[in-house]
Amino acid sequence: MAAALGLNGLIALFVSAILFSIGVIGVLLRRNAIIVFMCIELMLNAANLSLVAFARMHGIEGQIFVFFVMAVAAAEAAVGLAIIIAIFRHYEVVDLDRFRLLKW
Amino acid sequence: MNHWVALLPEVILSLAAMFILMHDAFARASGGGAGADGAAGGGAGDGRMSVDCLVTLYSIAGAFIASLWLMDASAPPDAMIALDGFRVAADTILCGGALLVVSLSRDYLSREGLRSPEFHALILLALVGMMVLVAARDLILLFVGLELMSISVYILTGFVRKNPRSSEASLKYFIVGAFASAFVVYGMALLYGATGTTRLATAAERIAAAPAGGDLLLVAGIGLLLIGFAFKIAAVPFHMWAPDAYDGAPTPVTSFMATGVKAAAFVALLRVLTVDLGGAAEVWKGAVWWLAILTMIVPNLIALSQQDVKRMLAYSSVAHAGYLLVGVVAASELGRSASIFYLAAYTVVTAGSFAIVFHVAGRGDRNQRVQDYRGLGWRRPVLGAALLVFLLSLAGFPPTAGFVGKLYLLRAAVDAGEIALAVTLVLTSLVAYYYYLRVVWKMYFEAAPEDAHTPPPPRPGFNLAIGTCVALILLGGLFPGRIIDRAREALADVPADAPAPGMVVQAEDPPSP
Repeated sequence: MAAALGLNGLIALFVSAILFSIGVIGVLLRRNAIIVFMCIELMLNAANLSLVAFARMHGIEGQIFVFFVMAVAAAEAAVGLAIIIAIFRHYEVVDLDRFRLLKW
Repeated sequence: MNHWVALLPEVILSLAAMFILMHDAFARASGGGAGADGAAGGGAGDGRMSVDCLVTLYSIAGAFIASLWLMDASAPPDAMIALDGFRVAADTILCGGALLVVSLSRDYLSREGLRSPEFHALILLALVGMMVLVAARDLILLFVGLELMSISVYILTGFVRKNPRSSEASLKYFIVGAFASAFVVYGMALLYGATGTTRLATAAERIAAAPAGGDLLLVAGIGLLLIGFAFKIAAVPFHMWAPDAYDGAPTPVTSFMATGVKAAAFVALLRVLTVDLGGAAEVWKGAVWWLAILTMIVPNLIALSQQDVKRMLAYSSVAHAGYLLVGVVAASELGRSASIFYLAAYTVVTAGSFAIVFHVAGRGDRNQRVQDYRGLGWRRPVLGAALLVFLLSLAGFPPTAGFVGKLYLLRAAVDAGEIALAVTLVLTSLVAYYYYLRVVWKMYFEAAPEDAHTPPPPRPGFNLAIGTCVALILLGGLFPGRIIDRAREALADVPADAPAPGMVVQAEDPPSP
């Protein structure tokens, strides 16, 4: 498995795991909706990196997957930013801790 | 058979959604009466359906018929899209739920002044996503279906832009949903790395051939996939978003989320875990066991203290995901068919009960506390009786479909030797009696105050849809044998011969294991 990936492949996998972890920690700790959203994009790109690294070993399917993930991430960004703008019009902030209408 | 025919239901729905959007754009561009018709939503008060509502209903019915017609077709085992009983069963639930939601939400749209073309187009696109999700036999397609469903529903949740609660629910749902999607993608990437293919059928063969426990990539991949799906079906401890999103969303959308989104994500999870990753059962079984236990206990306890009926139903819907997970842990053929039966019953009940909630709530959703249901059973006998049936089915009383579903799930759990799950299922159902029956008590045994808001008599279309729900629940409760036999045949691993339509109605006794 390690031999099939090669050193570069292994490095790519480790980098992608680190990127993913940074993304998860960012989503859990940061409170600004835009930054949280950026962290989610980071997680998606970490997955893309793994897919490309695995594609070296397994063939083209992983690279095709990456294109789909990128297209979907673009759609998600369009909708997500629109939602953030919609809520900014009500509250004039994008701080997740300030949205407290819905509780318990 | 041409290969594209396998996607006929999805094609019908997609074309209908695009037609609605284009029709709306051109009708508005030409101005005048057509624009006013669209803006009033759902044909306003004159009882006439708008074009988009009609197109939506017909296309969903068409997709349903097309998927039934596909039942006799078969696909090669490594096809990207499944053509089997599992898909037909799931499509039946999804299309049926969407039909109920669309026909029940007409009044809500016109009452709240929402634009109906976008609403219906998004419902259709979300439905396409769900149907792709349950039919996908390839990780890429699974992901695209999941995202098409999720993104459409994010928008629907924030549909009432002028209401901050709706926007807030939408943002929370979006953040958590996108977070979950990232987990799903990363899990899929690792699964692809471990098995070397994105085709689920091929991956299943390779997993079954090699011992799974030692493969770190595979274990991590399944774990991340499971976390992502646990967010989507709102299993405890990944449920925090669900009550908020359900509460803040416009009620028809809540009902769509609680029925369609949950059913689709759940069916996909059921299929991927028990069929494709069945060879690696020791990896996920323990985790799903804990998810099931926690998801049965926690939301039922929180629901006890809820004063808002919509929020109470939101917690109840989270709890029902726990009951459904029992069927996943059982992982047997009986467990799968019990889950599908329960899901069907739950979809009908949820669509009906949320519809009654928004009808009683009145303009601006003002009256949806438990207090507002005092004396409802006498002021609006038909609505009260229907809500009574729905609540009894949710609680699991005979002779409703909810009772039979719970019975089959119990049986599947006991057969699989999961006694702790069975006991938890029974105990938490008993706890749940309290909050369901409290509403029934308020409806029939407490007098309404003088200034109480009496909901207007519903329109015939609404009554018809509610009546359908009640009839389905009682039929499912009285004659479950036939339905569950169909479910078992549809879900058998080896595709059985298509059963004759005029099958004998079976007695109530549960099928032998």
